[in-house]
Amino acid sequence: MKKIKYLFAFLLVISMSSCEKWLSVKPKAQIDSEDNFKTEQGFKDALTGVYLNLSSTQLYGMDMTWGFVDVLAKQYTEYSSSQNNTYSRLMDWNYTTPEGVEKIRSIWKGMYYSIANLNNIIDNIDKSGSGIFSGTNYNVIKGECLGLRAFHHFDLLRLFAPSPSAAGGLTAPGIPYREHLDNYSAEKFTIAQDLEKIVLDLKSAATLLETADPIKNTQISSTDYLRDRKFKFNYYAVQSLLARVYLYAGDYEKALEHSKIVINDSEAGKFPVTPIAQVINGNRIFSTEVIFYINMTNLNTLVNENFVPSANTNVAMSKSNALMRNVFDVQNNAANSSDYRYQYWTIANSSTSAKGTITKLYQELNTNLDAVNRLPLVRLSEMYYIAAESCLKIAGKRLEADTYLNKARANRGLAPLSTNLSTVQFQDEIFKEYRKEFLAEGQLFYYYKRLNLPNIITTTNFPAGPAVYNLPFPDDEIEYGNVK
Amino acid sequence: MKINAFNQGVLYQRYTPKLLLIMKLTTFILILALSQVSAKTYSQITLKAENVQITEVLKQIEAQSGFVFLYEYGQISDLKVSVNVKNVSITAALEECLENTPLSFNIVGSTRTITIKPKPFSINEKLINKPQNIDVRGKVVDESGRPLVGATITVKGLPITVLTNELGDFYIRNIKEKTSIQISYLGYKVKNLLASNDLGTIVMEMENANLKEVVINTGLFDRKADSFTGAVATFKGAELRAITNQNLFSALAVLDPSFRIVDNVEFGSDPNRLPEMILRGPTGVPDLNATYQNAPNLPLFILDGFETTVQKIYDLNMNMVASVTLLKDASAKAIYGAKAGNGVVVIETVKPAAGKFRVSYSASADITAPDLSSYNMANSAQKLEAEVLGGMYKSTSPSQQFELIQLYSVNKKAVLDGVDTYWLSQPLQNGVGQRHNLYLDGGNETVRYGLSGGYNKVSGVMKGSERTTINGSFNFQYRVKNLSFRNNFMIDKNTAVNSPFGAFSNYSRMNPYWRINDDQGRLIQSYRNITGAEVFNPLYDASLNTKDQSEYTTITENFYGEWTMAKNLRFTGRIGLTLNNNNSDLFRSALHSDYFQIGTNSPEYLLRGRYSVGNGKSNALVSDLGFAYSFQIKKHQVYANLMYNIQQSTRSSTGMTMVGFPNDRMDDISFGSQYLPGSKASGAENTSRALGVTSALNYSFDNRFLADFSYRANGSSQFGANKRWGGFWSVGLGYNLHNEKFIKELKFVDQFKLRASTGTTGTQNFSSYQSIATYRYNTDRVYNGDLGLLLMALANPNLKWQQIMDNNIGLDVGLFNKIQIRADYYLSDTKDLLSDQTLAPSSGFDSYRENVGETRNKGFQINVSGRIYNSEATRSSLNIFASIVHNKNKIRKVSNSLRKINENQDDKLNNGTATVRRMPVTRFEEGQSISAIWAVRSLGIDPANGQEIFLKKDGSRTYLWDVKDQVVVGDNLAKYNGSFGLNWRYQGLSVNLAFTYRIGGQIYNSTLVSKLENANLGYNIDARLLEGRWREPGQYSLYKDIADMTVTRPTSRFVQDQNELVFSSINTSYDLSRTRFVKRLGMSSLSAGLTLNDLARISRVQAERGLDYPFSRNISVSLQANF
Repeated sequence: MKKIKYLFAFLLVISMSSCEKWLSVKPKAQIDSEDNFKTEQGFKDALTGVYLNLSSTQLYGMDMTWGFVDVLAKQYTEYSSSQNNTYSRLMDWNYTTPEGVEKIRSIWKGMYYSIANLNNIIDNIDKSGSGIFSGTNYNVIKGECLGLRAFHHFDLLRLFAPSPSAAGGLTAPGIPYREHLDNYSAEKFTIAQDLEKIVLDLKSAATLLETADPIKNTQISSTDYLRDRKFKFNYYAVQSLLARVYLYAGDYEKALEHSKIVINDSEAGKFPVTPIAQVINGNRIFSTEVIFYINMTNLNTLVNENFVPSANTNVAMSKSNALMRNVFDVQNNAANSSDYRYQYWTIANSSTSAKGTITKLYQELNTNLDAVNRLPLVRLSEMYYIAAESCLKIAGKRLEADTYLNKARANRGLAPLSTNLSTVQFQDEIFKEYRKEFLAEGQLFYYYKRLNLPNIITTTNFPAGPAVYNLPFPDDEIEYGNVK
Repeated sequence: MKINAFNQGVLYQRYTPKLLLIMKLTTFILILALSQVSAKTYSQITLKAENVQITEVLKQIEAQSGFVFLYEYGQISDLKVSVNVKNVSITAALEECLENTPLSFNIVGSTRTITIKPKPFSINEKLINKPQNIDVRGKVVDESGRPLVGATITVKGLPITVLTNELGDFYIRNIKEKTSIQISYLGYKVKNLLASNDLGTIVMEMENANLKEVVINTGLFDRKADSFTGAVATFKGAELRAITNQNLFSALAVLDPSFRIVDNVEFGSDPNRLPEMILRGPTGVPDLNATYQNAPNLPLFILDGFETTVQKIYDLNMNMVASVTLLKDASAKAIYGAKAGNGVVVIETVKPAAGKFRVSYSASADITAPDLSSYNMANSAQKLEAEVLGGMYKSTSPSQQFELIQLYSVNKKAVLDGVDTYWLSQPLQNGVGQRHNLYLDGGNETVRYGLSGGYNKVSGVMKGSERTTINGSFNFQYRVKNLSFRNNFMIDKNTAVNSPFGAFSNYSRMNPYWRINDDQGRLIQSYRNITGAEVFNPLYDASLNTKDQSEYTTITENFYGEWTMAKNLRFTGRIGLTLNNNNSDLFRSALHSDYFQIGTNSPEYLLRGRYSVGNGKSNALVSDLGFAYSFQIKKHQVYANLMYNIQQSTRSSTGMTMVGFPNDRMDDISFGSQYLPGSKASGAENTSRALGVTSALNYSFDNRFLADFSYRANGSSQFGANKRWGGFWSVGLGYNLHNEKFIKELKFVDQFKLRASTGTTGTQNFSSYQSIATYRYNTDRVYNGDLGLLLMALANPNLKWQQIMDNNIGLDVGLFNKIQIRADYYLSDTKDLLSDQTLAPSSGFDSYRENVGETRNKGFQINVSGRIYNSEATRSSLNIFASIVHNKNKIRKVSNSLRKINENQDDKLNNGTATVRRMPVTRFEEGQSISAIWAVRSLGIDPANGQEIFLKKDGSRTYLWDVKDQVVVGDNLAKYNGSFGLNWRYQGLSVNLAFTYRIGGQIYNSTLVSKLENANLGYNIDARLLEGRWREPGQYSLYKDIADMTVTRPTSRFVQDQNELVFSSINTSYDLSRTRFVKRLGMSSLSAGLTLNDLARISRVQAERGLDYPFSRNISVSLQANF
């Protein structure tokens, strides 16, 4: 019987020794989310994953910047290589064609996938608290996540919901704003509610980052996560986005307030004007003026595929020569413009001597490392435009508006505007800046939409309206979500 | 003296003096009797004497007959005879009298004188061979050849009782030859034999069906059948092999129709396609999102106590199967808890028997022949006619019209030239496979061993399609004192080669007016059909070097230990380890027709040809420890088991596809020029762990009242952190009415048992990491030098076990020792159905795992078997069996997401491609069956215009098909299905016949629709298209206007009742063991058999079956020898 007793004891030990632990199997080829968030590095890697996703070609690496969104704004009139066939079919806003449906779904899903990843970090960072983080990393990571969540939702709102200046105003239905990683179908909010959530997230982000973000305080060139803050959704990106959001919502006072935060600090040296020598040398994105750009190691390949005329066709994704001259107010091919952007962002299409090819994103891999592999998402000039437009709308600030716009113009080699422009004329000058400045950056479409302009303009006018401005929700969102 | 020998022969050596005394007494009485013999007539003799001196008897005869005997007194005076005659002639009386003597008589003329003399020498010889004492030996075995230890042998009329030893052998010394001996063993029929020197192997037959399941093996432990309350069915290996030797599944499906193999219309009898099975009813919902690791309704397979894969059972060497037990209700299967929801199939292999070294060898040749009876293709003239009638040769454009006329004349010429290619037969063959199995075993009480080797090559009906399995096993047992160990080591290697001829549908669609070869006898590469499409000759690809095969090797090592710690207390421990390696190869060269369109200037030209490889590894480790305790106090009997088990299984796989194989001789992946563009090596990994504690209690009172209780707690890593543990229980009650006095008095009732059980089980055919959120590093890019993680799946920490609640009541009745009836009624509810749920993409993911919905299966099963006739003397018997199964499936609750699937399905019908739109879709509606057929009700074809008239939901009529008018018009699941058959044996010959049937189910004849109304006239069509379709006003027809090219959507017109009778199996075998030939070869037994499977099918529906791979009929000739 003694033996039996031992045996029972042995069995008991086996059965009691942490079954629960034994049963929670962690995948080998994958990492369990719970495990991942036990260390600070896990949070960093997960957040890096979000940047990777957002810089994929499906999102800001292409479609949300120089690809699909710029196609909708008719930034290009010529498409040639096989890669751009989809775009040439979508240039007339055929959202219900198979290409359109597919493209829209991939953007929708991709954006929300980023948001899902962000939400998982936010849920977990709230759970784990700041204990496991060193320095100010807790604030930085959480701030970036909240900022990015707002950033994604805002662009979804700008693409899929009607413009606040359209008939329904702010009470029109918006998009689902997702704040947790879960399997519930989020309700669709009104535009006002969406904007409120966006602002709330951005304000929280601003609070967290204000003291913690090295870019705001002392830009230290760390080798750690806190290095190269412009690659991350930093404090100024948050402030810039607030300005962008308020302008979109029509709150000019707030828009001015937040754009001024960025402008003031940049004038204090945060985002110096890019010296023209650098631009000549290949820094065509004016990298010192960029507040937030994404890192894309495959940018050169993409640019070569899409913007460099191929040997077969001699044409790349480009503007027609007529449109290019129209945009830059150039009378003929022989003439030139003082605008640095005309000088350095365009070259002649190889088949003709006329300028049409867009070189803005050409990568000078050997000469200008500060500008290589960077795709701008938020830049300083926009803050000047926002400030100018806000001042234009706020009574008694007309002169300030001139100042802001002229500063931005001066940075691009343009002379100051005449001081007696009408409000409409002044607004048109801002529009012209958007057309030029945001070439291959995807902001122009939103300008049209924000002001609910009746036409999208190339050399001719294309009537635009809800059918152009509001992308339809993907079918499965309508089917499975609460958005009906 | 020979006479002395004779005298002694009458007496048995061990007769006691007392017996002799009795004999003397008899003699005395006889003398008295003789004195009373009357002498009425001289010719009629009446005489009764026993053991009386012959001279005395002769005197009596002289007195009665008036004859005179002449003999030498000295020659006969010692002889004693026995005689008993009444009114017989003198000749007869004398014959009787002298029968056992060395004497003969002769009537001399008419002198009334009879001489009595000794017989000639030869007669004496005969006398010697008359009954004398011999030693008898023999061996007693059961029907499967296993020795019966402790069988009782008695000799008629003698107080001798002998028991068989552990080898089943017995030995009786010195008894009279041809005395009757009787062999009995509990549960087996008593056998009577006449004594001879060597009785050889005596096969005992089961007494009757109710005692057949003396012990039920549940895989974890054994239960006495008489006291068990679960619904089970057990089949012996021999019974299964009598149905078919193809695979276990087909045999089980015939013997127990509650075990159904889902008819695979697409892949027919493809030997490399594992069948899908359902025990009782489908518990899950169809896997529309294709995310189950296995089929959702797959039962659990237990081989020798350890969980195993379908594949292993599919390839199992059937000769090694000792028995198969199906566990159907909660009481039977709850001990497997979480995995048993879909039912359990317990397979036991042959265990080595003690005894001298034995060799068994069996071999068979298996022929598969294609069954094309369901095909009804048009011939070339019919096809051309259909094209003309379909308006294919008309065009409004003059230039096209010209081309069409040219094409018509080419085709017409072919028809007139007699071209009528029978494409169907081109890729087919009569496959000849073979099986060999060698089994060696032997040993003694302490050590036993068994060694087996099997080779099985299955040859399919498509040319080149093969499946070869080689398996070997070594079984070793060791027993000492109260400890025993058993070890079973198995290796299986399988190679599955798919036919290079591709899908059969590529042949059935070819137009019959196309030639295969051109005038020079070369294969024609492609044809242009009437719609202008280029159609490649599928035989061309088959002529190239291709590779499409997969292989696996499995090593199984199972160890069992048992320790009898005290009386009634047993401790068992087991460890099972399974390692599996598999790989697959798929090669297609640049010459393949897939690449015909690619020009030499195309950048893809160099990328033609592809080779895909896949490598997989899996291993499973199972271990359990158990206690078994039993005791009996008065009439209370208790068996208790406690078992603790843990298990871990891991699977991993890698694969890649290379392209750029310019030549078909470059058939190795290393020749490839690069990865398939956009692809890279892929991989997956899955680990799951489970542990469980099982307790089971079996109680019986007076063997009348029975109860079974079991509880199992199961933990699994596959479920959400919040719901990891699940409890599964069962309660079963039984009442052995036949042990009650009032039933016992009814002599014809052998068994009358009532059973009822209820309980829960779970199912888990799911992937390992479905409940947790996981990350994966994105290795394609870095972000500013940093690596990033991306979420792979949405977590569902509340994901829990899919539970099945089973209720069962049953009845076992045995009557007249001939008839056995077994009936069960069940109600089984599946709750918390696990399914992939589609999500709004705003969640960031397409789907996640959720517990949704409820289904119910309700049904009954009745099995009847009877022993119609049985004669030991002629060794003949006739048994019949019949069974019926009914199952009704009902969806009781559907979640929102399932409803959304319905919408999605309807949308497919509205907006999908033509191929999608013509097929009914699976829909989930409360109150309906999962297998319901949804279509719009049809009122037939309007004779006026050839259009179909539909009945709308509101009862009005319309020509317009609307997705909203869909109703349930049938059910794919048969209302009743079952089997019946007989087993007839006459001496060494036995014949088994088995039929299966289904009644009251429907089928949507989609192949008819697609080849008839939705026919693409560019390809071949069903011959009924011509006769059946509407052509002119006033014509009543079944099928719509022949010129109407619109897609026929799901309509009740094509829903047909599928009543079906299949002649599943005929098996004849002849036992040659008794022939001298076999003895001369030194064999102990030899039998030959012939099995034919799927011989004929009578069905009300003519639907094409076996679209991508035809169905086959099987013929197998087998031989089995034991040495």
